[in-house]
Amino acid sequence: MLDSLFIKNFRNLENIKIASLGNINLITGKNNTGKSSILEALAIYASRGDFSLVYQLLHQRGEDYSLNSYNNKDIKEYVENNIRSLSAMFNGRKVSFLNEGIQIGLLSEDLSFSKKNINLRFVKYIDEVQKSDQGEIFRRRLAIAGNNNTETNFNIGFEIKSGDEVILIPLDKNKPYRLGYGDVGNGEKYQFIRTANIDKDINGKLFDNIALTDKEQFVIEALKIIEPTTERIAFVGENPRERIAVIKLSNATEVLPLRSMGDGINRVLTIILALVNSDNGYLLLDEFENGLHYSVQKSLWQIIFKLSKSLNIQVFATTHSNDCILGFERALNDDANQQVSGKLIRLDNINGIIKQVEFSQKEIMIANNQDIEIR
Amino acid sequence: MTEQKTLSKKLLVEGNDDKHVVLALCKKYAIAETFDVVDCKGIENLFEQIPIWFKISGIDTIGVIVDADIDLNTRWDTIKNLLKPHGFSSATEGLPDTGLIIGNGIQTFGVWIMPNNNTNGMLEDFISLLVPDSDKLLPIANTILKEIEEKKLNLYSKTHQSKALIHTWLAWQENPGTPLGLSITKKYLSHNSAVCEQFIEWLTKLFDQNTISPCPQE
Repeated sequence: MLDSLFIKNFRNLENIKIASLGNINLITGKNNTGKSSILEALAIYASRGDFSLVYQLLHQRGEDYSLNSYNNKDIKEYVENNIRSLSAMFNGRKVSFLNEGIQIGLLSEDLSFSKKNINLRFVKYIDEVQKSDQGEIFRRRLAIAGNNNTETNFNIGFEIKSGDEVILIPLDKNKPYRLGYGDVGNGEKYQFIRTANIDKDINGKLFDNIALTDKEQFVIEALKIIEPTTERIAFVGENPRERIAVIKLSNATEVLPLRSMGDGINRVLTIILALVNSDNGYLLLDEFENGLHYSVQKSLWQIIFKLSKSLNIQVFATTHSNDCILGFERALNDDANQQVSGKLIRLDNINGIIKQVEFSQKEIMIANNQDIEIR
Repeated sequence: MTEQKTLSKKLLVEGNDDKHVVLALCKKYAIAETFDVVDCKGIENLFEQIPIWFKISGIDTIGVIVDADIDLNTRWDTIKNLLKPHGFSSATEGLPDTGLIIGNGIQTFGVWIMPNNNTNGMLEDFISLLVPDSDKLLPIANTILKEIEEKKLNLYSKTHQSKALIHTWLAWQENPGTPLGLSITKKYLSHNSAVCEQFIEWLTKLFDQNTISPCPQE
């Protein structure tokens, strides 16, 4: 679990320092305040800078400029396109070999950058041919200092660093993430639910992971929030990639496609499958309220609280909705045993600079008890 | 003032009486509805709410009216400590008799400690200062209170003496049982006393009558 968060130079987040986090963290703010960026940064952190995740995130925002043509042999164009794509991750799209790049992780005690954090940046490097003592010849990529202007024959690569672990990825290939360059440590488990992905394929796989285990019951329990007569669900279909979710209700003999039952139940299924697949890790949930009527939001929060505790999952969710915040407050207030800790973080865009305002659990509960609408 | 909590300026008060006294005075002085009066239902709640209002989006002014009760200095210290984390550096100085108004560059904060920022007491002491000079009942009410206190017949505590006094006095007016706010409206109480005018000046200055800004909605 992350107990604080530090994000620097990532997308529109120039410098965010959140001093304390809870088990459940709700992030609110107007459009363009970097709510989703925080979730993306957390995914990068949890995956230990997984390069294919970086490209996946770029792709989802339409920022992956990888060439479609596989016949293109112009290395320079590959490099340019990769730089163009990756620079979208950097605050102000600034590509500089001098600055410290993107930093994501914990705040250390003196509120500075902790070494274990993830660091992403562009680097200049040269291919060096060396001969070992045994006479073996090997090549290696050697990063050179950003302010070294004497070396003119350099290449541009992307460096992913965590503590002493560093990997340097050349950008002279189309879709460079497809080649294995190693990693900077073992990633943690996480699930990232984007705004509108009700992905049949992914959900089917996630269900397979937990079918016939105790966790299947959690899924049924969650679906009952919306459809109290839910008995079972399954994923069916000839083609494993095109299976659809079906639901059996207690008062019906036939199973029904879940699709036919509206957005709400499908959204709950997506959330809950992600949750039961993130034990000891993180759930990142963009726009909690999507497709959910306000009356079910508190119940869903209650299930999330319960599973966060029993499966040891730290949850980060974003919202635009005051109903969502209210549901969160009430669930937190009803959680009589204080099983989980909650935190509300609002992001404000003040003349282009994103600032955070943190509400502690105590403040959230006071506001809820005294009818103050936090926003 | 309005019940709907939508304005960017908030006046936090301890209770319903405080709220209605403020509302009645605003009416007498024709003060525009630039702020919401929030009844916090108790001083503990009020102190708990202050840090939260500082953080709520779109709030530019927070005013606070509290009773000094038996220790003005303790009240003032509590408020100073609440202000510290929010960059109101000048709050370390003393509390002016005219009520405090300070800014931190982003928000404005004001406090009036009843009755007059200078003595122990409460809203009811402030109210008793509004009893017209020509009034003949207040000295009698005072005498009777002293009498029952000497005989130890009073059930109220010493702290609530001014409360007992003003409500005794109110019980002898044209409509016995008139609440504090309404007694201003009904002109039992005069609103022209020096302390009252000082209070109104603090209120209008804090909630700058020229700027009415609705709280930005999401």
